[in-house]
Amino acid sequence: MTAVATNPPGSAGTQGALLLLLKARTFIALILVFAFFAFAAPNFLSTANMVIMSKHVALNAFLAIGMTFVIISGGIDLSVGSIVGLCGMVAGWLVLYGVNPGLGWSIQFNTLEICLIVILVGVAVGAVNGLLVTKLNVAPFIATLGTLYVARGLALLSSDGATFPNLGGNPEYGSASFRLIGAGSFLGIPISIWMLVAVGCLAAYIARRTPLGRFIYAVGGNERGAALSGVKVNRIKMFVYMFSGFCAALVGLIISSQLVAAHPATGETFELNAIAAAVLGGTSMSGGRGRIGGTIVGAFVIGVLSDGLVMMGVSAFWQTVIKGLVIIAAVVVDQAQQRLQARVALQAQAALGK
Amino acid sequence: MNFTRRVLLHSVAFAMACSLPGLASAADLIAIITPSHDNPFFKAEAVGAEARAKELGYDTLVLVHDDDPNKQSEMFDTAIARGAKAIILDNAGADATVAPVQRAKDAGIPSFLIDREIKESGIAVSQIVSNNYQGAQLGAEQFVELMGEEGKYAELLGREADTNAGIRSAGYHDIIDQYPDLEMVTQQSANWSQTEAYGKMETILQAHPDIKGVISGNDTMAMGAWAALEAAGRTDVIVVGFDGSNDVRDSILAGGIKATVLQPAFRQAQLAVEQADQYLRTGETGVDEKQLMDCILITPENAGQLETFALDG
Amino acid sequence: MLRWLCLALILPALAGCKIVPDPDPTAADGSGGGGAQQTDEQRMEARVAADWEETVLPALAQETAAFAEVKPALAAGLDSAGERFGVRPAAGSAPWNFVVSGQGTVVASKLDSRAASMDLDTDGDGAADIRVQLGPIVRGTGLRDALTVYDFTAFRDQIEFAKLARALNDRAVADIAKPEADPAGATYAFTGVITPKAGESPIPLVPVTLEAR
Repeated sequence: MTAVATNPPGSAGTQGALLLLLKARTFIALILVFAFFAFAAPNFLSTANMVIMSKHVALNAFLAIGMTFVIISGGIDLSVGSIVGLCGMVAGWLVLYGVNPGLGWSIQFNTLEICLIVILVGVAVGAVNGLLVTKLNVAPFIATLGTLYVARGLALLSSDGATFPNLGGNPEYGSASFRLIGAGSFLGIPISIWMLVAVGCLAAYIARRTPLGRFIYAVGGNERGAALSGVKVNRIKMFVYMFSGFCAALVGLIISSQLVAAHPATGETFELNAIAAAVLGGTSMSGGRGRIGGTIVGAFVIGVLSDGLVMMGVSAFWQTVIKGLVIIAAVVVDQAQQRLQARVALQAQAALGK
Repeated sequence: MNFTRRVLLHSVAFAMACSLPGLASAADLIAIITPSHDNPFFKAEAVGAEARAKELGYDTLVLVHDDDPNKQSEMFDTAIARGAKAIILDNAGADATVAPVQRAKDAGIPSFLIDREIKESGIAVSQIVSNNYQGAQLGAEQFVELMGEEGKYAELLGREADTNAGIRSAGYHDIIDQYPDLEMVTQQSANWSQTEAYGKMETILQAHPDIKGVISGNDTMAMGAWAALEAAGRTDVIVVGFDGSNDVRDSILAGGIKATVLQPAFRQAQLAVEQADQYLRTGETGVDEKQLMDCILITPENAGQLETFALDG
Repeated sequence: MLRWLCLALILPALAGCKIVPDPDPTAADGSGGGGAQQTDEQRMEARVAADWEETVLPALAQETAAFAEVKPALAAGLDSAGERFGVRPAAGSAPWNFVVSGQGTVVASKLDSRAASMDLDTDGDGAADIRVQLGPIVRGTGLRDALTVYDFTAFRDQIEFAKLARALNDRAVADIAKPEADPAGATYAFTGVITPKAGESPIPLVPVTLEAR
């Protein structure tokens, strides 16, 4: 990436411009999608709709941020959707029943504690993923596929398939503010968006400015090389899966608060949307390459696309086809960019060598 | 282009977007939200509602929530943002639907529920409920009669997380459990799916070859089970379904599946649109919020009149 | 550093949790405040037991029509008969229910079934007109639907409402003395609810009173 940034201008003017265009493709796609729906879908540009769409995008964006780290490190996390469902059920359980050890009393928690416990559950499932991948050497695809089923099964077991209703909380226990996570807003912008901004900035900071972030790229780019140069590969992998679990837990909290109910099937196929957003944002499935900012824009492209199509009343079956085509196109363009970038870099080297 | 610049550009795009006035729509819009159309039952609902709304001069927006409460909630947001005048909904969960319907009400949009009810009254204008419990009792009564009040049977359940799966099963057992000579050898979920029902039925036949009847939570599963029974040469087994789809009608007429229970999906959807129209014009529907619509037992005698979830004549 | 940060966050927060005794220790089932409730069935049974003498019977008495009058009206048309004698919840597609009284001779009976019944001939032509359901299994929700005091909107869901119908039916047949031996030829006077469908004969009746004459 840095090699391109320091590429002397003029040496390959048109190629440079093309490369810039390709690198900004996700963002251009977003603008195009926006412009299209502004004309095609009534009320699309209203402020209320913008806020609503951002809320919808936020859910996928959280998962996609966690997923980006995992993919950059050379893994994959298929379990996020199930973690969303499980965490939602844990939140619902805590709000309704608290923790009851069966001794004639129960511990009731306030909103902050509920959030912390739920996040802990998400991180714990992530840690299980991490342990499976690092200590037991299970391929990430299989390990997280296993936790996908386990977590979903646990979510269904927690209530016997039923929905936890009326998660309004109880003012006596200080959990009445639980609803605010999904319904509250600050300065006219929903809390979930603020959370996304916070998590997004934190993740971008980790990725670009901390040694941890650079190690993640190193592990994904060349695991052996990273290990030989002293990177604690296992620790890095544990971190990415736990962070992904953390993001999924946040989504579980937000959804159960928004719906004021926890449904055990929540989050099915969320992992696929998250992977799609990451790929659309330029994350390479083979690891070592990708950016948080790109992923967030990717999530916006998918979200705006699906919301816009829904507003236009396009058949749900067509929506699925269109989403698939967009993802394929994104990867094709990504490959083109890689080739072009390699060529520009070669030319730059050749120019230097002269 | 780095992250900060993207964010900056993004917020500019947002600011521009926000400053533009929303587009006004011409005819009044009715949003029709149902589960996925890959099940003919929900397709019939959507088609019925859409046709009636068009007749009454409304624009329609047909949306699909795939029985996912979160997606349903997003659909409500979309309907509100599009400025729909009314929402016709077959909901994705009795508890999880309360919040979005309330949100629509707060935004001044009345909701008219069909097929399934929600666990709160006073927030939707109408709830035209398919009496699944009564329907299941009808099916069970017929099943008991066909079984001769005795014998071993299996039950195929719908998806556990679905309200109707529970209601139907409860309705079946409300009747069947009063007959001590009827013994349920197994109860399996086949997730409403034909393929899964086929597989489950094959396994059940291996474990319990002496089975005499199968009662199924819906028609697609009944079809799957019947296919497995036919393949195993066990066409003597009594199968009873639920929904009243055309496939099962044909099977009943051909002497395969013995009975099913019709939910008047088409009529229900149209009734909801009519009530929505009345409400939008006069401010009231003139009927109670919760209305039960009884199901009708379909046997070889009346199966011939059945067409797309409606009984002729 | 991260670990300390987490601890610093968690420790003060834990001070906010509360230990609450279970609402009713005898009924504690591990789910805290959630359990410890009657089932729908029990609640509806209790409700019917409380309402039966005070509201149900008077409400039925008010709607009762002679079956001898209802029968020809039914032959003329279900809807027109419904307008004159029938009750049904709200408008729309709900079927008509009729509270009827009359008497007839037993022409057939089926007592060995769990859904026992006997057929009465009310007009002396030898054909059965009414099929009195004797329980213990009673079909149909006619009794509930004939009672306008029970409004579906006031109930949580269709399960609760169905349990009400079941409780009402059970309560109704509990009072009925089921004939021991073959009752053929005996005369019975009845009051009860019918929900006739077009062309159905004999019409099933949920009996509220049944007396041998």
